[in-house]
Amino acid sequence: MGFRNRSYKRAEVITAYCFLFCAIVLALLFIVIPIGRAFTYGFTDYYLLKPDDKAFIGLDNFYRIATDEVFLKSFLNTLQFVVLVVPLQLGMALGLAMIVSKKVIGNAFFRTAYFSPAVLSLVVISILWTVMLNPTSGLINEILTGLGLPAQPFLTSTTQAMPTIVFISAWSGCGYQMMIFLAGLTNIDKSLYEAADIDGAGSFKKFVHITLPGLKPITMFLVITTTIQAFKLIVQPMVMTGGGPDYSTMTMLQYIYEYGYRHRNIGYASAITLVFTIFLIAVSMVIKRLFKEEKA
Amino acid sequence: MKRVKKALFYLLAIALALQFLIPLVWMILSSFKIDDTIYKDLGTIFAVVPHFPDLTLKSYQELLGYYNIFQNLFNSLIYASITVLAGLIINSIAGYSLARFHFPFKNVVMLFIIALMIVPIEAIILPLFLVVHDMGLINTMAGYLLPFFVNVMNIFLFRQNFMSYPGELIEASKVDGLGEFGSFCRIVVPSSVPMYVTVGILTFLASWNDFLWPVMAISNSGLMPIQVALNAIFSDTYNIFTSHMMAALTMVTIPIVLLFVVFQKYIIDGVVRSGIK
Amino acid sequence: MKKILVVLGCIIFILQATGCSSAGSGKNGNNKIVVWTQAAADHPEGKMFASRVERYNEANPDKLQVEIQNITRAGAGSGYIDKLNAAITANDMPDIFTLDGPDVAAYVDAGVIGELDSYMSNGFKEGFTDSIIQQGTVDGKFYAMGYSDSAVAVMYNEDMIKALPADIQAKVPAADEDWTWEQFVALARDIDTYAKSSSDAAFADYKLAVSTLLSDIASGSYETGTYYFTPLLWGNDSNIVAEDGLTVDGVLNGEKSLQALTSYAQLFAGDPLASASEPEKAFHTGKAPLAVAGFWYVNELKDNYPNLKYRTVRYPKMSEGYSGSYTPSGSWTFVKSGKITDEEKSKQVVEVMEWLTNDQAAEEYYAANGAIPSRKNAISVINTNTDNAYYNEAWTVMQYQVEKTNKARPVSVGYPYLSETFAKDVLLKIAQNQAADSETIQKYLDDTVKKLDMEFAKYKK
Repeated sequence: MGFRNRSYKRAEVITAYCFLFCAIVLALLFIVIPIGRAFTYGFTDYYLLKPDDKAFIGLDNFYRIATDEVFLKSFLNTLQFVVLVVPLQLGMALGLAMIVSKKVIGNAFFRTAYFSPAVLSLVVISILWTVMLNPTSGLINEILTGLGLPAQPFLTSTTQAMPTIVFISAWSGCGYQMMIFLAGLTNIDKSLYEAADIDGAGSFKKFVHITLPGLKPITMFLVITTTIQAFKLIVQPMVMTGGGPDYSTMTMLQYIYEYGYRHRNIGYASAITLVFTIFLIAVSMVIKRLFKEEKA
Repeated sequence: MKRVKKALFYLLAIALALQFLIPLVWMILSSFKIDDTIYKDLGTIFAVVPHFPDLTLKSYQELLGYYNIFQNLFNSLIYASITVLAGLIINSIAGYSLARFHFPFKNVVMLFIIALMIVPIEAIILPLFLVVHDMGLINTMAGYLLPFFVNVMNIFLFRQNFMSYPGELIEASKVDGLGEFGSFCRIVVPSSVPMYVTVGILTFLASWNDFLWPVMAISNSGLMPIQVALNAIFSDTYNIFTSHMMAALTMVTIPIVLLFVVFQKYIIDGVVRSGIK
Repeated sequence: MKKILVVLGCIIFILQATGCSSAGSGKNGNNKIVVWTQAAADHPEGKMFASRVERYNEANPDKLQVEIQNITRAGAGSGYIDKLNAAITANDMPDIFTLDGPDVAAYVDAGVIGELDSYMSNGFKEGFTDSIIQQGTVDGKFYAMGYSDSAVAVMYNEDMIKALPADIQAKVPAADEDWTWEQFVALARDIDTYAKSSSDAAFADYKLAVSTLLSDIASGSYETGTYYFTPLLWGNDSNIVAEDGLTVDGVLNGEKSLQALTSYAQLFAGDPLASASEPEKAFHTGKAPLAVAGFWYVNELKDNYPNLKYRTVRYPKMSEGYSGSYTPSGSWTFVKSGKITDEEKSKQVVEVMEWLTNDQAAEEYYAANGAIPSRKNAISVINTNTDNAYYNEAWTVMQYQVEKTNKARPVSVGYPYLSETFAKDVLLKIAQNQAADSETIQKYLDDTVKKLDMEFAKYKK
């Protein structure tokens, strides 16, 4: 805080705080206090159905996390989801953006078609795909067998369930990012392409040397937001697989839900919340730092 | 050569379009069939092309006999509208305050807001549930809505937006006898309508689509928003067949399609703007 | 400036007001008695409750009126229970609600359901069958009135069995014979081998040998798994938890349990005979020749699949030498909220519960839904002399088991978690990973015991 030349005006200060009042109160109540709660309950054995019976149990919950194989599995599943979905979804989005950026007949139709899953909520998407992916009577297997391919178990297989959820998430989310890439593409200076044409550069060369660098800031931003978003995966597995089969689609957030909400074991779930929240904050700080270095 | 290239381009573009459209078309068409027809058509082209003699409204009639979907749709509409309205007011005046006024601890408040921006709200959903639970507000509209009025990201966006607003215009309006709040309402807000509409629509969509929080905060079927009701219908294997489910999914999607048609420009703008910034 | 405060004040006021009003109109309103049930409104069970409540209200116009609410399942997993838990923590409990028998102890421990002894009319409790009294009693006090009992047997598809060579057919026991799990698996294996090589029309739709409803566990109905297959442990003189309801080490992962579960796992060894993702109604539609079948199959088949020729035999025993009870039993019950403070209301609530579970009610439930009566005086209504031989046979087997071999699931304050973990981490895991060797299964069991011990720490302090 530097020195200020002018002192505060009483009326202005009062107005300023009045304007801020609601936001600050609500943020304290519903963001700051919950974080505080996670801290305190994480060290207790609070069981929601017996609130008067909670006791401080030190680091027990954290020891439990360290030895809990399902926790580890959920963590790795979440990580696997992030690592797969971010490149797939952004790659699809970029590809679609390249297609719709071409000024051809039918352009508007393609753009609408690619963006269309955006009107579906995650719950609708999850239910719709669960029905379509039914191993014995689903549309997708019907199409596969029609094309002469073998039917797949999809969501009922421990090895296919997570990749299936990755695909569905990318399918439903890439339309939004396509729009952002599209805006980025139109912002690239046209004269660069014209110059390259004169030099006789091929389209691949133009893509690598002009398009990609031109999209870099947008790509970085999308990587950050999509990554953070992906870590918070829960609706699709909750609706489609319930975390199964054999915990192969259990994610961090759903694990917290299972213990905290379904089993009412607040102590343990708060400890997991704490670990996961700190992890997420660390991740977003790290990628933001990388982003900044990149910029400089 | 060029012709082949063009043909390949169209082939790819159309194949991709089908990939996105087939599930939607199948969903809508199946909602107008009975289950027997749905499964009979699966392997044929009629899965995705209407065959009018087979289409019927039966699934909608039956679905509405089992579940009062309109009540849930109405609930969601009310929840989303209140969240948008309250959110716009609270976040924009907070953003305005930070953009325009000088007051002690302003830096602290700014830091506080930036710090909260990196807190992943969904991750702290359980302790949030406990706070609302301790306030005795589980299963109430207040408990469900209050936590999501304030959105630090939006405060920040509004602040950025208002920073670029020329202060002289506000001073001038004050000469005309308007107070701070008056000049904010009459001068600043009208000039920032696109910003309000964009943030409002994104808030609306987020509220409409929310699932995890209502699952935890609302268990009373009368108060249930549509997304949770959908999942309840989905797990009712006793009454609900595929055609009913598709009818429910279609009904839930219609309002959003309308929203997109009406506000298309703002939505795209909002999406893009959130990406560029 | 003032305006903004007024606006904000209004918003907060409105929210508070709506908050209060919806909290105030909670289920505990004193002007009526609210009943929650997990049965859907147009399910035969739901209709039965509705009809009895209607008659109660008509007969007692001066008393508090009873309102029944059919709770649709919501959220992932075991929906009704999730919703009930939510209502309990929100202090928004109904006056009477249904609970699965084995879950009663957990809710007693949490102090949310009230004891019934002091309100019940004379001799009413004694009218319940022994297993129903057993399942409703925690620490010597009676809490839960079961409105029906249950049974699980094995069914086979007569057309498909008749298409088998005589030597395989000979392996099918008679309806009044005990048989072992080993014999059952061997039969299934033979059928599977034959069906896959045969072009007989009876096996045209053949998908798998045994329908087990494991797919229900996969989609969140965990209790089905525990209910169906814990008896395999019982039949080997073991259990999933010790008498105290909390000790699992040395019991669930003990030698006898391991033996039983390895034997269970033979269903999934090599070419699997059963699957965690079996087609819906696999037995009903002729896709599976064998089924581990709950009593509700009988009415389902009678009403919706009248052409299916199904035969019924006893639930297989794990160890031939075992002589105790071992077949699945128990069912949903009515319990009373522990939060009712008004004595008068408590009395009427229990009166309503008696009305919903008395001899006459049990007979009606049997007639409407094929539910096994929970009252001693009502058991005789089970009719095994109809003109449908398949139906008679099925009920004869079920009745035998209810009277001779049925065993209640363990009483444990941690039952909901215990049951879910056992179903998911043992039964389902074996099926999904097709793990059939005792080494892997021992590891699953040890892991499960570790997990249960950590969760049960909260009850042991």
